[in-house]
Amino acid sequence: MMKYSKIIISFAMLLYITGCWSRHELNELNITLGLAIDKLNGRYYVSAQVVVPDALVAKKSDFHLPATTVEASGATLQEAIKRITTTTSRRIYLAHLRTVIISEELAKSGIRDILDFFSRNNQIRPDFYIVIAKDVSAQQVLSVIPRIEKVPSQRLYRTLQNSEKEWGPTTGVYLDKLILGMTNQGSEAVLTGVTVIGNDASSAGSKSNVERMEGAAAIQLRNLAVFKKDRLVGWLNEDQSKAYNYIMNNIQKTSGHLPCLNSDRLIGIDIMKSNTHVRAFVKNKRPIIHIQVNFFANVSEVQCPMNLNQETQLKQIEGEAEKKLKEIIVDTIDEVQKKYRTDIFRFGHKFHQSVPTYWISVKDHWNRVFETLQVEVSVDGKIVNTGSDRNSVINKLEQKEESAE
Amino acid sequence: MLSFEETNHDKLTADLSTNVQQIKAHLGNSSDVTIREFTVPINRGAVIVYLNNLVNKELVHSIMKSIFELLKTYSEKNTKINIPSLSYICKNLLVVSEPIIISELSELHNAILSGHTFLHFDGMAEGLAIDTAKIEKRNVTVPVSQNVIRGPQEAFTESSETNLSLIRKKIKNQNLWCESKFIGDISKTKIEVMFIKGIADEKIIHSILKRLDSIKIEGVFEGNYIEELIQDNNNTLFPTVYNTERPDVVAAALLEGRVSIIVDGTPFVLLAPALFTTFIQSAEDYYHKDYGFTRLLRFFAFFITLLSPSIFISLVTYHQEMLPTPLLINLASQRESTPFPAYIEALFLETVFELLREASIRMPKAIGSPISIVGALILGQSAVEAGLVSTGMVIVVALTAISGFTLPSVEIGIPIRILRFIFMGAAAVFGFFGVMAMIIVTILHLCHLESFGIPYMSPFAPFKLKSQKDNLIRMPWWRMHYKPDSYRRQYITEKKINTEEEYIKHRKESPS
Repeated sequence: MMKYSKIIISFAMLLYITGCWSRHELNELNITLGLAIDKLNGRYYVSAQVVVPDALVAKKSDFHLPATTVEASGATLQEAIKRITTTTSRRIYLAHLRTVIISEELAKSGIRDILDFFSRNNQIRPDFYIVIAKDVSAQQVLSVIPRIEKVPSQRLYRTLQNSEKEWGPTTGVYLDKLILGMTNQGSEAVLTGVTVIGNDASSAGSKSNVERMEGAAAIQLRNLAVFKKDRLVGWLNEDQSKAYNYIMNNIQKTSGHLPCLNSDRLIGIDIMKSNTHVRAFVKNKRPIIHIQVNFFANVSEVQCPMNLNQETQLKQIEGEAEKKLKEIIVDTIDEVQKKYRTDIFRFGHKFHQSVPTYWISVKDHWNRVFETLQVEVSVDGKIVNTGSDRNSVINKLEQKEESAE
Repeated sequence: MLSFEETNHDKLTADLSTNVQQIKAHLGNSSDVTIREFTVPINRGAVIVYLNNLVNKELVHSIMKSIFELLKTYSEKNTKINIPSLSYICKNLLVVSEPIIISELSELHNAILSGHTFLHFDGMAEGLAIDTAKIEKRNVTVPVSQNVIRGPQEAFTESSETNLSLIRKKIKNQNLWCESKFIGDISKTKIEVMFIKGIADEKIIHSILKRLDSIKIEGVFEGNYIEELIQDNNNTLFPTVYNTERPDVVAAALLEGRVSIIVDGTPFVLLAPALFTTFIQSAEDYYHKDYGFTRLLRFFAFFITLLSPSIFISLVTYHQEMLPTPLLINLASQRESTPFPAYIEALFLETVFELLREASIRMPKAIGSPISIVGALILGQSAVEAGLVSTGMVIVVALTAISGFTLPSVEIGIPIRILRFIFMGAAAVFGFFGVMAMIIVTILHLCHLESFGIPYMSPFAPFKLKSQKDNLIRMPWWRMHYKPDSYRRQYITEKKINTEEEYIKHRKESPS
């Protein structure tokens, strides 16, 4: 018994001489929610947005900045991040990273080093969004103080999430999805752009920005950046971005408009649900992509006199909507094929999955095949609801005018 | 002369005055001993000896009266001036309990000390002991430590006779057998072993009786004395004998085939064997129609009360990435003003809670509630405001405490409280890795335990599907015609125990 207890006691003492490695109290960490990465003269400039926990949950009315940005530069990313400790008392803790902002210049010269760093780092979870700063430096985007959310990076994260769900032409890309999109056979990646708007961008990072009722600096999501391998080669416009998301089956909800009965007025359409099937097949030794889009939509606005009680009218709107959607999809694919020559729609991947024998024969020169790839698009839409008022107000007003005359 | 041993085999003599001398000497002439000498109708000297405060004096009086009448009629019938034999007196005396014929002084002492009245006639080397005991006892009251909302509201008392009667009242069956023993070399405490013949496993009964016989102790004043002396494994914190103050629990356990040990002098009756699940189940589970929902809740509470401080420590010192970001930020802001590491903070609060708990038990009832107010308000709120501890930690410790109080048995709370501190240490050194390692060690230990030959973790391990009817949940009564048989013979692996000898051998062999 004595022998056993001696053994047990010595083991118990062993436990404690290890100390507590990798143990960090919460007040020894700089909880980093956002990183902005710029590159200048071959050096990485990294800004880390860290929360100031006390200020973030303070109930007092006086304003404290809930987050602060610490920055440093280095030849490699890790060097830059480690160098940040020269300016702050706590270590940078990246596990809760929400957004990484990469400057456009850096993206144009290739982001493979950055992706390698993030996927190699064992502290980082791959569930943060990566965005491209358009027209401004990445650091500028990070330092715009939001008025509703508290921490800028958190705001950017939620904005992306929400606009992806409700508006459409943006898409939130997590690190793992981005790496897959870039490295998979027959596919290329896109990233959402972000920029700073507002009358007074110079005060974006100070208290006065929050105190303005209007014209305050804010961030805005801007369409999609097209990548070829890890380099940014160009931007899609809004319609093209939306078309891209239709093709990738990313659209959950969005809004659009149609011309109204040969006039210059408009009908507003709300897409409630959209579903896309992309099929790849080879016909007469020619590769063909077939895209089938099905959507359900509501009529949200009618600016012209129109009676939606009549089914023919609804059918007409449906037809117009289908036609317009098909048009923008075809145009987008055409432009990407001709101008960027990069397969962001992952058509190659589809061939890889559906017709592997064919894929083996073309995978070495897929980009050239993609440029001339035949794409068939068919759109099937259905208007399911016309809102709570079937007969438009405009219609009623015009009827009143007629009867008055 | 002074002897605590049972080896005092001095015999009574035929001479009355010598006997009286001896008794006086042995009992130290104690002031509560009454020795009344008198002459009976056949003109012979006699003596009665009893302890003043242990006997019903009216009964003694009526016994004396009936003896006088008996001898009077005897002497009228028989002309010979001779005293009848003691067996004749036993047969014809008008008393309820059977008189015992006593020839040894040690027997005489035992009889007097347990409230008998000793009757001795001059010229006889034997005497009679008649039960005249009237021992002060408390009334049957409401249970204090195991309350129920719905269900019987009576509790055992300190008197083993009352307790026996309370159990008999619940099970009116001739197969409810009872065996008494006197344990304690000096205290000679009465122990009653009760079981239902035919339901309880013979080997368990046998092994309990055998273990009781082998007890060597000076005095027994609570069931725990017995519990510690008959438990299977001494190297464990976990209880392997159940105790309860509720007659309904004992009755139900007897029906399940368990054996109850009633110790005179304490309202807590022991039940053996006792399994891990026994300590989490409550009598009330059977009295409400919730089919074990609250029991599941209690199993959940068991894990909360054991693990929540250690999980919290692990999360905030090692695994911050596992917390949702907003929660992490909130916790971080609380941490800003706390000077100590989370482990020290948890240790401090847990210790304070244990102190409060202990204080509230020791405190007289009148000042008990001020103590809890002081504890809750002053220590909790002020400690946060003073920046000693963080609010999150106070909530975790409070949660731990509340969950701990949901467990119906105080006994299981003891290992949990001790293990909690060990878990916290493991969490502080290794994070979740340490907590997991400790959980594995604990489970291994629990699976290693046995209670009177039955695996402690059954019916989880070994898993018995039939017994799950009344384990984590309780099946409705209409689904339980055949009672789960955790305590029955099937559970004892035949290799381990067939006889008590093999059992003892097995215990010696097993490395513990």
